Amino acid sequence: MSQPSALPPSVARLIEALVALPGIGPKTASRLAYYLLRAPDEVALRLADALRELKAQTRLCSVCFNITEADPCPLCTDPSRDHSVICVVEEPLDVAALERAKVYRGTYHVLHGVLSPINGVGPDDLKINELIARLRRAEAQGQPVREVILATNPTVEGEMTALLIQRKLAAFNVRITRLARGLPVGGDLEYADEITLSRALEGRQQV
Amino acid sequence: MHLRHLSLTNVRLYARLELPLRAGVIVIQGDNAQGKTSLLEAIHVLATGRGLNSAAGRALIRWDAESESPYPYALLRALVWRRDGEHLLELLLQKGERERLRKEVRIDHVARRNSDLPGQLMTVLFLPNDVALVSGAPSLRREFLDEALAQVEPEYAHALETYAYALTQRNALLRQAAEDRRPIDPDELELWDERLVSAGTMLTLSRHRAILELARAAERAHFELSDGREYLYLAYQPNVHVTHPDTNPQAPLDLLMTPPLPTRQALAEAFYAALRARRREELLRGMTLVGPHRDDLRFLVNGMDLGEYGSRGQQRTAVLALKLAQMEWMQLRSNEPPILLLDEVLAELDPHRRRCLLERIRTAEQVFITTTDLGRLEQPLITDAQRFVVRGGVLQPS
Repeated sequence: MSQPSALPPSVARLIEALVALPGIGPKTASRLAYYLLRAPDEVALRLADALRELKAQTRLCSVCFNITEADPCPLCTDPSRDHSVICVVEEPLDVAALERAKVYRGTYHVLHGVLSPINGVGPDDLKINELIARLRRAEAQGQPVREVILATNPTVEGEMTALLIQRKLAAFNVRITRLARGLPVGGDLEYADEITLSRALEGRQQV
Repeated sequence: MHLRHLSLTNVRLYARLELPLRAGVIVIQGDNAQGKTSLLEAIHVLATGRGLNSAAGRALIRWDAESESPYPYALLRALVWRRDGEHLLELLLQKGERERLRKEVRIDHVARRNSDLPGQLMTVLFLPNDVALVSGAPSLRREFLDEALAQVEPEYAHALETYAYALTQRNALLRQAAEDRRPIDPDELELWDERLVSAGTMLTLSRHRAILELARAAERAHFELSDGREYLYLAYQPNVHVTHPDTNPQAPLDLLMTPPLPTRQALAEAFYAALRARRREELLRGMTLVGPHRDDLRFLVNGMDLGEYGSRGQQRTAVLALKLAQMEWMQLRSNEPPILLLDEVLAELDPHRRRCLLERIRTAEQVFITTTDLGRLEQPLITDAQRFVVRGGVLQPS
């Protein structure tokens, strides 16, 4: 994005930095930059501090690879959670989503991506080896993992990633499950596509 | 089936077009480069979803729309009348950041997958350069098969999408291995193999069955078109095929015959075997060398390959026979007559073949015919026709 030269370099630099963010175009970036320029000092400084701390204070949990300030993360050290169940997700945001639902009481494992050769993402770029090591460690400690829930997205990449993990864990005596796919709550049968409908039928349950 | 209304916004030459239509013959007259072909193309795109994954989709967006908006779009809408009632098809193509193309399909106001579009509307397109189907590259023949099949088998369009995706991913994986960028994970490669084989088997079997059916109709049409002198034979050449246990498995496929239709399981096994046999070569060259993306179809007349040895006239007749066969086959498969799109093809036919074609047209529910000169069309054809004149992307009744 080329900015008019009339802009002071510091403003132009901020706009450039904002435009690099997902979901923000040149117009929004300019608006945000001018808002910060006019706003009281502490508004801008609070944002700057938050950004600095974000990078300085956070790291990946050495157990589940979620983003955390303390290592291991609070979820991994929580004694009230079931440590024999691991839910494998693509991104840290997925952990947040599942936690919001307040129904899952096990632990997590964050892959940080999905398998996609076109984007140059292979098994070694995901935390799959770390998951295997984690299962092995648990076994050695006499507290084996009972169940691994594959909660990658129902996209092609998500499915392929789930299938690969399933293969890699074949040697372990562990139950491997996949999140159910089907009709969304509040959805309309009439508007569901054939694949979703056939999955929903396959996964039907006795009531 | 027939179109009751066609609406185009920013499609090729058309800034805006609202066209009420009836069943029967529709004649569009105009000079070259005024928008005749664009109109037929737009209808064909709605029927087949063709080219949505390539530069062709971008090319559909009207050139001038680029200067009017940073995110130019093309909108194609059609009201279709079928046995099962009236349906509204909508396709939106919009350019986004970094030349990305956003595609949106709506059927009866509900957002659907792109691969749900083909077959909602069925067309058979006759183009002046169709002869390239016989004489040109194998990819043109595969495209023809894909377009025809996607319109009559909804699962085919989905399998095609799955296959194309698996192929791209698998090629990327093999390329990385060939360039030593990362060691290949056998488990990962096997996963893509499975996906390639399951979708690829479905494509091969569907093509195989379709060609067996098309071949009969095409032979009849060609016999008639050639005044009973020639027998046309369509030979399917699947890249993956099941070799007969008695023959040498290394023997190349008989180029003059469609092989017997295999079972799904035998074909899948043959596919895996072929992948195993060429794995080393694939890893070395960094691309997928086995699968229906390497299929071909041959046109043989009295045992002679028309692509290589046929005269221009023979090639033309064979293509016309193929299109007439497609028309018959589509109706047979779907119990619904396809819409015919004839782009200046009548002009180049001799009187006999022209008569044959016109006879078949009479049975169609809706036919679009473009011409530079109304005088070149038979009077009975245009008497009851809806007639339009197109100039610079503006269509007017004439």
